[in-house]
Amino acid sequence: MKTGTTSGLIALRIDNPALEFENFERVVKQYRPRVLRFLVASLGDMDVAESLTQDCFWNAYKSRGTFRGECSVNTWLMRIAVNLVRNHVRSRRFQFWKKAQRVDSEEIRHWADRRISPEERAWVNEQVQAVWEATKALSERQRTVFVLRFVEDWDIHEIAQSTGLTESTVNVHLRRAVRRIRKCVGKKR
Amino acid sequence: MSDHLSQDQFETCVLGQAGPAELEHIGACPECRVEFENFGRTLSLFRSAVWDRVDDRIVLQTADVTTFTPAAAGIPRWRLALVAAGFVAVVVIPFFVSGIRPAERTDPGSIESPEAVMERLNRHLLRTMPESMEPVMSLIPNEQFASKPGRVQ
Repeated sequence: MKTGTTSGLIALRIDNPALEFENFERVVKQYRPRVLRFLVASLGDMDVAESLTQDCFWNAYKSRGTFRGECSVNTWLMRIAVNLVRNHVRSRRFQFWKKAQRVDSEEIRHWADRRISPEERAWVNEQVQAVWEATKALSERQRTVFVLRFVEDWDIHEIAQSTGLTESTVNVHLRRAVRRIRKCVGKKR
Repeated sequence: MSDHLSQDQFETCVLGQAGPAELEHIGACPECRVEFENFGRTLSLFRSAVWDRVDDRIVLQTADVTTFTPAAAGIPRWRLALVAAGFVAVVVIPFFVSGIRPAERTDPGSIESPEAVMERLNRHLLRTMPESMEPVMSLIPNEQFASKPGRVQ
């Protein structure tokens, strides 16, 4: 192994993702938006998502020694985030739904894409709201795979790695999620 | 049999797993194409909304870095309150307590009158030896003591 040269070091770093944790601050900076996006889309509450994002990186920092580089850092972090969402939803099911309902009415109005014309904004708001409401009706697993697939653009293999599910199970959950969302969105049209 | 995509086929297309048959149908059937495009657009709007929301938050937090606050630094409010209470206990309370003591010392009843001071001064000037020795000297007869040379008045 050519570790004495720059190219050797780069190769070593690519081969071993565990080395990314040498600079944890950089890891946080690079992956925080992704983790936060996943948590916001999964929970619908920015404050809770922020808090769980911190928990995610704190857990990652504590257990970075156990990371062997068998998957990417991105996948590993998202696995932690998925578990945090699962625990959060299970432990605070009722509070979660209550809060998610409140967030809808207060914040979802501002979620519209600002790059479109004002005439289209109402329609966009309605569509975003419809998907948002539909995701609330999904099971926790369906919502997780849906968000990873359609918000984070992950493929089935990556989703399976992060969730600990088989690829066929991910596929089944995704199909159910799409069916449900299509049904809800279709009603709004 | 319907002329349009089944639910399963539609989902297959949405998940990016469409085979040649589905692709051919979407290309040929305007209704299914519009349905597919509308659904895809709706999902991408949702995605954009989430991305924008998070990007906005991150930009705001980056801007907030310049305005440092203890809360942002992770110092709990209860800890600040504890420090404030400690400051009050160590500095403020002793200050007030010590402020009361001089008032006690300046009690008008404890000040000697000018007459009393003059009387004490006279006694001191008339004293022929240190006050502590006076009890012993009182045992010696007056005449003997008075006749002794070198007495200082």
